[in-house]
Parts: sequence; C-alpha cells; structure tokens
Amino acid sequence: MFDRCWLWRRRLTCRADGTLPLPQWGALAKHLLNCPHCQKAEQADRALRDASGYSYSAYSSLGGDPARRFDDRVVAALDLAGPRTPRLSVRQISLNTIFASAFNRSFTRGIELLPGQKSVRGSGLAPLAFFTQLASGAFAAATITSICLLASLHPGSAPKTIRANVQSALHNEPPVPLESLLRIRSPRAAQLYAPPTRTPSALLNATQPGNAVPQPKLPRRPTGSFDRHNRSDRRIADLLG
Amino acid sequence: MNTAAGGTEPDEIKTDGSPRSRPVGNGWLAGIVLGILIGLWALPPVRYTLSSQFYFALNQDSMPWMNSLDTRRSLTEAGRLDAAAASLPGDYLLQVGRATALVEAGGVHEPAPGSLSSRASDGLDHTDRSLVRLTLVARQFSTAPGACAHLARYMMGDRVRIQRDDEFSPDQPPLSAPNAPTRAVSLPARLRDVKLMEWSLRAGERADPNNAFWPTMLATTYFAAGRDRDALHELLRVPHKSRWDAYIYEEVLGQWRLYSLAYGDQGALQKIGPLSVVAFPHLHEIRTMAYLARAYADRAAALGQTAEAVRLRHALAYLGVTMRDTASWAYEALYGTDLLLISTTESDSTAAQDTIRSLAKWVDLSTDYLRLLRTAKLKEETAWLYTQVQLGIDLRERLNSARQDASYPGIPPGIPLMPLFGSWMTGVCLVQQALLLVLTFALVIPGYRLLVLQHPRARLLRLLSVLTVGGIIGISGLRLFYGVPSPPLAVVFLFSATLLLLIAIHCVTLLCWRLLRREELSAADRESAYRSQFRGRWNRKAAASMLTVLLVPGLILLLWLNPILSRLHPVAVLLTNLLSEPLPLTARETIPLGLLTCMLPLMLAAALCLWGLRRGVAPLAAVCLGLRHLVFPTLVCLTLTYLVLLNGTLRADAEASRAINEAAQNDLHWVLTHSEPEAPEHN
Repeated sequence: MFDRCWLWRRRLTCRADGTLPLPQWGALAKHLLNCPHCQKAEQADRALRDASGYSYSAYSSLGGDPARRFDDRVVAALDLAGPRTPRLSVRQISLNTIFASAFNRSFTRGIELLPGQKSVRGSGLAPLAFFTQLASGAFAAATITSICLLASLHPGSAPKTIRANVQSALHNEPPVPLESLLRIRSPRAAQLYAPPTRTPSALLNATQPGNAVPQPKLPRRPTGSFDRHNRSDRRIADLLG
Repeated sequence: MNTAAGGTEPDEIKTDGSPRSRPVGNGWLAGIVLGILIGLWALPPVRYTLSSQFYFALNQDSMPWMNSLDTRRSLTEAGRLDAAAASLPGDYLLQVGRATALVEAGGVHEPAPGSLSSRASDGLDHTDRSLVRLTLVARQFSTAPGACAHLARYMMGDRVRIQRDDEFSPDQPPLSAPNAPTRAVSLPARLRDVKLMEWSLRAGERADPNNAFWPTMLATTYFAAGRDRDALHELLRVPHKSRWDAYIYEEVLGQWRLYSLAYGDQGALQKIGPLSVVAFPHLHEIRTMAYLARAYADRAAALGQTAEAVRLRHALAYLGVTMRDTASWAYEALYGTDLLLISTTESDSTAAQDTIRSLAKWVDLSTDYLRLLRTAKLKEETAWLYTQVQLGIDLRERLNSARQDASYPGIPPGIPLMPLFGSWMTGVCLVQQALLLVLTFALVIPGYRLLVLQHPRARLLRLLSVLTVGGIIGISGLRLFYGVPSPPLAVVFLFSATLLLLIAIHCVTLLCWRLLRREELSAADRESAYRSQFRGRWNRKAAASMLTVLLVPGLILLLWLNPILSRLHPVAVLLTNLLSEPLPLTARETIPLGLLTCMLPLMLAAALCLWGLRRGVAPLAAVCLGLRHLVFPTLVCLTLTYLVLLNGTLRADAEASRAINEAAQNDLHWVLTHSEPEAPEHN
C-alpha cells in the first residue's frame, strides 16, 4: 500500500509536468539509474505520453491546451468554493484581488487550518468570499439577536401573581430560632432568613445561649482605638464647624 | 487528479470518485458567532450580563461588582466607588449609598486584625470613615431627615452603646431582689458622640416631626450617656408620634444607584446584595433601652408611683406597637413585638419573654403589671394590651412561618432568584465550553504538526511533549489532591490526563495495526496517510451525528443540573456564606466542577477518538482533524443556545428585579403577602 519510492514517483510526475525544480533533476536521474521499479514506471509513463502525442517541452511551456485546462480547473474550483458568490467582472476581480491580497498574507495560514479552505493560498479570491460570508452572517445574526433581546428586555407580560410566587416558594430548612435573632448586636436583614447551620458562632457569642437577656459587656476597646476615635472625632467636629 | 493516497485531492471529491458533500462555509459560521456577539454587545444591559459571565468564566474572582459585596475584597473597590460618588456630588441618594456601602467592609464578618479590610490606608477604621462621610452628608443635605437618621443609626452601631453594669442593667436582678450586688462600673458614651447624636436627631425631628424614631433614639442615646432622666423624658414623648421610619430604604436605593453607576446595571444580582446586608445597628440598643425603661417603671411601682410606672410602660408598649404596625422592615416589626412584650412582662421574666407564643403565657408572665392596671382601674389600657399582644404574637408566628419560605438563604420569600441563578450559571457554563473549545482548537494546530512532523528529531520532540504532559498531570494532581484544590486546577488536570490517554490509545492502535497488517507508516507519508484516512471516512453526516450525539445530551444534562448550578452562582455563594466563613473546596468537589467546565471539549475528543478507532483512522489524527471540522459548527450551536438561554436569563432578571424593588419598598408587606401562613394543626 505504501510504496517507499512514492516520493520519487511524485518527482517523476512533476518532471513530466515540467514543474520539477532543476536541482532535483540530478537526484531523480541518479535514483532512476539505481531503481528498476522506477525505471519501469518511467518507461510506462513515457510510452503513454508518446501514444498521446505530448512531449516535455509542450508541458513545460504551459501553452495551448494545458493552460486552458488550468483555467478550467480554477473556474471549477471557484464554482465549488461558493455558489452564492456573485459573479464579478474582470476589473472587479482585479480590484478585489488587490484589496484581498493585503489580508491574504496574514489570514491565509489561519484559514488554511479550516476545512475546505485549501485553495486560499495565492488566489486572493477565497478570503474575499470568506469575508463576504463573515459579514453577511454577522449582519444577519446581529439583527436577529437584537430583535430577540429587545423583546426580552421589555417583556410585556404581567408580573406573576402573589399566589404563583407563594406556590413557587420552597419550604426550606428551618431558619435560626426567632429568639436568637433578637439577641444579635447588629442584625442584618439576611439573618432573618438564614438557616441555623449558617449562623456564625461569633454572632451568638454576643448572646449567651440559655439566657434570653443580652449581656451588656464592659467596654474592651482595643489598644489604639482611643487615638483612632479621637482622630475621627476631630474630623467630624471639623465638618460640623 | 491524484488518488486518495496522494492526499492532494480537494475535499469535495471522495476517494471513490463520487462527489462529496462540501462543508458549510466557515465564513457563514464565523459570521453567525460574530454577529450574535456583536448583537449582545450592542445592548448595554445585555453587555453587562455578558461581560460578567465572561469574566466569571475566566476567573471566578474577577467580577468587580461582586467585590464590593465581599468583605475580603471590598476595600479594593473603594476607589472606584469614590470616583462614582464624586461624579455626582449633588445626588443625595448616591452620597448616602457611598457613605454606607462599605460599612464594616460590606459584610457581617469581622475582618481579621491587621487585614486589608480591617483598616484603611490612612489608619482610620473604616466604620469611622463611614461616620465621617455620613456626617458630611447630614451637613450637606441638612433638610433631608434621612441623612440624620443614617448618621444616628450608624453612630449607634459602634460609638453610642448602652454599656451599663448598674442596678438598671438588664442582666442585673431587680432592685427589690434580695442580695442585690453593689453598683458596678458603667461606661457612658462620649460627650462628643452624644452631642452629635443630639444634633442629628433634633435636626431630623424638625424635618419629620411625626416620626417616633427620633425620640426613641434620643432616649437610647441618653441612656447610653447615663442621663437617665432625659432618656425617660424622651421616651414619654413617643406616644405623641404616629409612625416609625428609620429611612433604611434610602440606604438601599443609594447603594443600588452607586453600584449601577460604578459597575453598570447588573440587574437583580446587583440589587440583592444591598437588600440582604442592610444593617439595623439601632435595634439592639433600643431593646436594651426598653429593659432599662422597664426597670425604672418597676422602681416607680415599688415606690408607689403607679401613674409614672404605667406611663413608662405604656410609652414602651406604644413604641412597640408603632414599630410593629408602621415599620417597613420585617426585622423592625419583629423588634416591635418584642418591645411590646418587654413593656408588659415582669422584670424577672426576661428569660421567658422571648418565647411567648400564646396569650395565656403572656398573662402568666405579666401578672404584676396587669394587677397594677387593675389597681389603677385602667380597663381600657388592659383591653388594648390584650388586643395588641395577641396581634404581636400573631405577627411573630406569621413571620416565623414566612421565614420557612425563604427563596434562598438570606433572601425574603417570593423573590425568584433560583431560576435566575440557574439560568445565569448555565450561561457561564456554555461560555466556558466555548472558550475551552477555542483553546483546544488552538492547541490542536501545533499538536497535529508535531504528530506529522518530518524531522530528524521528531521522535525526541514527541517524547518530550509526552513527558511535559505527564509532568503537568503530576504537578496539577499533587496540588489538586494534596494542596489547595480549585476548579481551574481540576480543568488542567483533566485536560492533560485526557491528552495523555489519547496519546496512549493512539500508540497502542498504531502498534496493533502494524502487527496485524504488517504495514508501517514512513515519516514522509504520515501526513498524507492521515489525511487520506480521515477524508475517506469523514462527511457531513458524520459531523451532524457527532454534534447531535454530543450537544443534545450535553444541553439536557446542563438543564438537569440547573438547580446544582444555581448554587454555584457567586451571589448565591455569598448569600450562603453570609453568616459564616466559607468552607474550602475539596478535591472531590473540584473535580466535578472542573469536569462541568471542560465537558464539551473532552467529550468531543473522546467521541472523535472512538469514531477514529471504529472507522480505522489513527485516533490522534481523528481528534485533530475532526476538531478542525467541528469547531465552528459547535461554536455556532453553543452561541445559539446561549442566545436562547440569555433570553430566559433576562426575563428572570427582570422578574427578580421587580420583586426586589417591591420587597425593598416595604419588606414586611412583601414577606407577609409572599409566604404561606402555617396551616392550623388538626388534632
């Protein structure tokens, strides 16, 4: 299945097409001398070409039929690349080619990574088709997106009834006992609906369980708090004049 | 035209010569993705949601508007909030919001000593800075009673506190009790603080004369200062007032406006924080004041001054009833019911007064006062008390029942936050899948080149790559299982483990093929062989099947996991951990989170590997080439799903916003109308 001489066969074909670089001709000739399989292949190709009436010079000049065949392949490739691509005049193609060539160098390598974009390099037309598709798709998608979201941003539906909300409410884990809420020194609204497992020990430290009365403690101000308070006092006094 | 083995045929021609389905134009697919993103970015409310989800998908700690609600990171946002407040210096609500935004660094946790949150850069305690700001606001907007109320409330949180240890202290036995201890030391509030309180409360009362808030706060201030006679005088003025308003709604509104100006409008998620962490620092002191006033009433009764005793208790009871009936916050109403019970029960029954659940128990604990009323022939007062106490007990039971219906820990009932959290987090999950898919695609390119590399040292490079992947697995695994686990670490671990597994499968497969077919791929034709293998078997049908098999169950799984995802929302985490320190994640918890994050790329790689094994394509080549073909269609599917989901998120956000607005306007009314009363027990 995998012939080791596959590379030489390709070079043989390239030489027949006239596209083999000159420095490789010597290596190919040397290989042909040593490899009987390639010699046979080369002879078979030569016989086929002789029978068809072609020669190396006719291929290498790229004149006549091969040139037309090349053009046909380009046109076929363009047709396959995008049936929705508008047909452009020769002048338009030239202008587009000039503009697209600026993008071509930077984007060709990236686009080639995507499937179906192998023919991008060097043509200058495929990036244009790509960007046309990109712009059209973006415009259509952006329009539809805006329309969809505008409807969501201004919903006309009436607010849910109270009953519906009540039904949607879940009976959760029992919250903190009501009695303990009244003993918190600086309560927050959230604590009214907090489950007991989330109550920090720090908050309950200010209250002593089993004793419903808050325990006013003598002040234990940290070191330096007087200075801090005095500084703040001065600022407040200044503000008040 | 060359053969398939040559690998140079166009994609449109199958190896058997039949025309092949051409892939959908990538320009269209990329355009759709780009267009949806542009459409989302064009609308400001959607832009904020999208950017928040994007930031959260990249880094869970990167949302600045969440930092202001988090104790540990709030001070880093002080500069931004200052700038927002400075942009509109004449906006009263905005200035109130800024002054109260970072009080106690935004949360209920006490910051660790020496931490960033505990002290600002200039050495001032942050609460003090807030008091300075509030003083400034009160001076600038002297005609606004709310400004005075905010200053008085926060002064009571730290500076003006009743710290007494005398015979009138609540924890001391009544005066008449035998073996009463000798007088201990009390610490009165500072004179400057008391003067400031007097100034603000008098100014507030001038602007809002019918509010019972002012004399009550003055009475509390005077008790804190040790000026008990003045305190009782102020308390006796309370029955002349008709309502209670601490202007807390202004604080919530101000913070909403401030955050909206600083971070953009983030909708309900931004509003719920200020509503939840709103503080009532004055209530505890008012309750202590009530104990002291009751002790004075008992003393008056003991001295035979029945009228004075009844007046004091009536003033307290009236205060409780006013708070219960006219306060707009459930917490204040709850304290109102408590003040009513304090005013009527005996001094030595304080331990049981909190637990009164029936009128009979109240009568048991209020024997002396009811006897006093009978002695004074105040039948109307007695009847009024019976009615009010019954109403208070009913309200307590109703609130206690309503608390069971909380829509989320720390959130009043009836606010539809769970759907919003779930929808938001599902969106984040989709964004994460898309980002990781793009990242995987970006990694596939060098990976594939390395796989087909024709270089004398290609084998060495491949070996080094495998060793690198192994090293990443080792380091991330060690940190995950023996260090500090985190979801990004779990993602790295899962990604590298999957990659190593794919490499192993690839090597084993090639070895098996070599043994079975006695064929060997030379370095020169490896690329063309892989390409021809893949192109010969891949078509549009295979791509569509692959997308359907992966995306449909994946999206169903995401919808199924919606309740679990909702608990991972940052606001949900903040609310859940509001009253306790958050627990660190374990490796067992982070691996499912990481799996959820990178589910699609991993599943895609696994599916392509299996497809390659089944169709005789080298597994790694199948993954690399398949990803190249699937990345844009998958991104389009993800983006369209995200768009649909975002519609639901925006609707849920609008509904939750509306609910939060109503709840903030009258919290008590909202709670009572959005919870089910407890069904009566049938014995």
